[in-house]
Amino acid sequence: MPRFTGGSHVSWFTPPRIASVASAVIFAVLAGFLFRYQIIKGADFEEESKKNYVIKVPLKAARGEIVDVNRRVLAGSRQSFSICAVPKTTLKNEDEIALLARLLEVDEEYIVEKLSKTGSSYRPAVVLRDVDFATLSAVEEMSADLSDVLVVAEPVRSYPGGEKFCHLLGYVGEVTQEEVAKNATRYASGDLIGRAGVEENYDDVLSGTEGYKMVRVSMDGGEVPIDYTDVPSVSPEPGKRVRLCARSDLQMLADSLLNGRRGCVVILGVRTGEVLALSSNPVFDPTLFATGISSADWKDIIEDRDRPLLNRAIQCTYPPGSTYKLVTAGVGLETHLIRESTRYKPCYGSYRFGRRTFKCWKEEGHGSSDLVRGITVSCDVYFYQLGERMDLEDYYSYSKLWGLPERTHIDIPNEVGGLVPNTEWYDQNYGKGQWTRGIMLNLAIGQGEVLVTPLSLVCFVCGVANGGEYAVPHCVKAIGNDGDEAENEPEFIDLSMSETTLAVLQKGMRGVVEDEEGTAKAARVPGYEVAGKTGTSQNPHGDDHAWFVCYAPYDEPEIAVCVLLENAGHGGAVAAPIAGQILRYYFAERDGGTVAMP
Amino acid sequence: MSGAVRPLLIVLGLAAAVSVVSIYSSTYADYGGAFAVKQAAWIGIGVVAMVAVSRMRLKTISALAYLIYGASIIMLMLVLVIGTGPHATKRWFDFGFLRFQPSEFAKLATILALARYLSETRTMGDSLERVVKAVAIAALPALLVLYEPDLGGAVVIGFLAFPMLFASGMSPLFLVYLLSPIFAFMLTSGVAIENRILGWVFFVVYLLGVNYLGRFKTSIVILIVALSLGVGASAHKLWMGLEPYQRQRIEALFKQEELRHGAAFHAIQSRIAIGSGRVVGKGVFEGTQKALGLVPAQHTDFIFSVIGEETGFIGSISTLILLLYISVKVFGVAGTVRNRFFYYVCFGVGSIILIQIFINVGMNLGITPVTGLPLPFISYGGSSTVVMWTCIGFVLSAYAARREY
Repeated sequence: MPRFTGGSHVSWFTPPRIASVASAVIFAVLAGFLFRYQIIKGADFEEESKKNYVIKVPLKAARGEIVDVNRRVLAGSRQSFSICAVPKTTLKNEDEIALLARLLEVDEEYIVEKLSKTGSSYRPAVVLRDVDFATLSAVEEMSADLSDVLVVAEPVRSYPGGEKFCHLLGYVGEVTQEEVAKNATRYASGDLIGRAGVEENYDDVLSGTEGYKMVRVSMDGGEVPIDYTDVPSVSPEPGKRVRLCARSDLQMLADSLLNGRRGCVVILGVRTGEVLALSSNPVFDPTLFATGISSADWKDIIEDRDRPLLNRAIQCTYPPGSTYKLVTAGVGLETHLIRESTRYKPCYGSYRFGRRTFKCWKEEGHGSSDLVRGITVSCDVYFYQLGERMDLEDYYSYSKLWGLPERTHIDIPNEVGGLVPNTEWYDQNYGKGQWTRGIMLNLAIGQGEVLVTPLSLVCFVCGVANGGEYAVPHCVKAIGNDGDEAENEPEFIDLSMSETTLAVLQKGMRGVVEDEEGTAKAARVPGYEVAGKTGTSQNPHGDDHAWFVCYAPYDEPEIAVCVLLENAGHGGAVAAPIAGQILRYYFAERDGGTVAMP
Repeated sequence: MSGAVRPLLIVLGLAAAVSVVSIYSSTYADYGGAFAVKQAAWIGIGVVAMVAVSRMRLKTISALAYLIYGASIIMLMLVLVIGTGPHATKRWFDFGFLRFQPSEFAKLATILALARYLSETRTMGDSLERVVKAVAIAALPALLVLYEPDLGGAVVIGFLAFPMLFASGMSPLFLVYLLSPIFAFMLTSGVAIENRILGWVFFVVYLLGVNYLGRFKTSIVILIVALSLGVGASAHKLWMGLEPYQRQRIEALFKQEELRHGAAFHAIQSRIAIGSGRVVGKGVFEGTQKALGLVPAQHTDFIFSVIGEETGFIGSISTLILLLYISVKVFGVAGTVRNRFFYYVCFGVGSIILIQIFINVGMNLGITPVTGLPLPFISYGGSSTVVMWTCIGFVLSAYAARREY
């Protein structure tokens, strides 16, 4: 029996007992209401609940537009009509499915499959998106026999820019069952979600918020007397506009210059990190996904050996070839292994290391070079001798410091990092003592195991051009409509590179384009000095990859371009002319207004 | 765990089963088993927390009371800065993979702080000082929660001071008297009674009557009467200062027929769902009101409507008995323990369970406002589930130490 009475009470009525009595009273009150509603008025409520053939239909929010820097629409929305059906009732009605299949010109199994995903739900599921007017009228005409079918207006993604922007923009597709399970409050089966590119990364701002309205559906075909037009409905909130840094003209130029060849072009603002264009070839048609891709189309894309879904600028790694001589030279300078004036043994077309002969790309040789000329003429023998003296760990740690094997953290998804090996890597992959210092000679000219993405390489070049720091590359300039745009503030990465090193690398790169001996005279622009580096990288998949990475103007850099063509031959001969055409267009347009595209 | 709490644990187990099954029933059509599985996990975490807390020593819990309260206040302030929630509210910390609702934690923290304060002050009878301090302890978190805004949570936390003061031996009439300013608000703001002059008449009659019955100290009478008249005079302005949707929800309670398809829509649909369950219900997983998506938040605040629709009078009465058994049992432990701190803790836990059952089930039946409160032990929600089970842990700890002073 309780001893403590909690105060002055000494009777049976202690506060805990009174509270227990209060519990009983509350029970009695609530039980009374339950009795009244469920037993006394139960039949009435049951009647009323049968009249409730009203369902909540989602009102899809229009997806935010994606526009280029000049507000040209690259991804928009157009109104379309989707045929929806209530899974729970439709699945029980075979005649209805047969009729619907005939009208929509699809298999009955297809309809059953679409509805079975949420088979026990009264929430309408999309059967067919974006139907044409004829089909729509046919369905409307037969509506008396299609009592569980409704037509829902739904905005569909359109891409006025077409395929040329696909890797930058990405696409939208239906959510998977797993995604619905993971975030059930946000997605329902059949919802669209951004995939790849800006569409995926900025899905939160683009997608907006879904609304709903109450719609009458008669499950037994009978008329429903209650007017539910005034039940609450919530308007959808459209997604926000996303404005890219990209310029449509540059993007289209880059795409046309690739001209169907496998490869990519990245154009960056040197000082801002803005992605002015990002073109990767082959392309795919993003509109195929917008209304739910057919399995035949999907098979075509997935089984294409050229893998069109890959964004080659960020998702593929390549041996950098001679473009990496910039890094090797940088490491040599930073570790005081070499100075601008350092000369090694002259180049006679090859170099002997132990019992092996390492060839220079130019059979007749380059003679004697200092470091700047070594870069300008891209002399392999010069860099073999630098690599021979270089510590693998220095090569590794500076490469890492300068971000070459790293992700750049650009604001589009699925970026991969490259590879720069170190001692540990070789020990693990080749075994301790199973590899020789000879590997350093190959690494020095960007061959062997080193791999980079085109984007990380051009970021490094931006850093060199920009006095030792580069802005993290970003595709999106601002979010929101005119008037309340929120601008993306770039973040800067410091290369921690000395002034001398920067000056030597810059001079070497200027020589590559401007010097008579340079390997990329094709990238010259009248009236401006261009600096760049060519690369021709051997790879196990066939012909050499052609590289060219450059920036201009030399004194006050604005624009950086990286061109990579897979299995296309010499960087100077194939890649540099493309960059040259882009640069000449860029400066002509900037200085003189209208310019015809080359 | 001694034999006397075994029935309590069995009933809690049954409530957990009801929770998971009804959440599954309300969500499987659109979302599959995800919500039910998550709720089962939350209950698991709650049970672990309960066992851990039940093994804590009396002194430890008492010593930590103010610390926990302080931490809770800081969280409530923080959530106003970095919190997220529906309709631009700030109610949760969103960690991506889970959301934490500090107002749920504040319920527990406020009970502990009130228990500590009341157990350390021994004044008997109707002391205004204790009332002011106890109300202040509950009002601080309540105001922060109100600012989120979360009216239901704020009311429950703020109201906690009263049962706790009642537990300390104050006369119920005195406590009712102290609530006069709130009655003044209800009667004169135009919320409950459209005609504000009539409201004033009612209020004056009430005030005179309760003063006559209570024979309170003159100083208290002057304070309360002045306060009530002040509130009465400004009630209409205060009322108009609430967010429109909060106003609508309270109004919906008094004007259900007028607002049939407006703000009262949810309450009415919920009542139809419960009523249409009749004696034995439509069968588990067979609810049609539920399936049509007419009842909002049916796995959280309106879960009772799903139970009512699918299991009928028998099922809903049984659920109600389970829940009220828990509160009665907790009050029973409060009557058994010798230590004052634990006495108050148990009383507070019992009160918060009881208050939430009443408001939530009442809301499902359309007799209390739609304020957004979970049904303890049943509604879907990580924070509320874990907090309620933790509260039971305190009760178990109290029971284990019931002979200690």
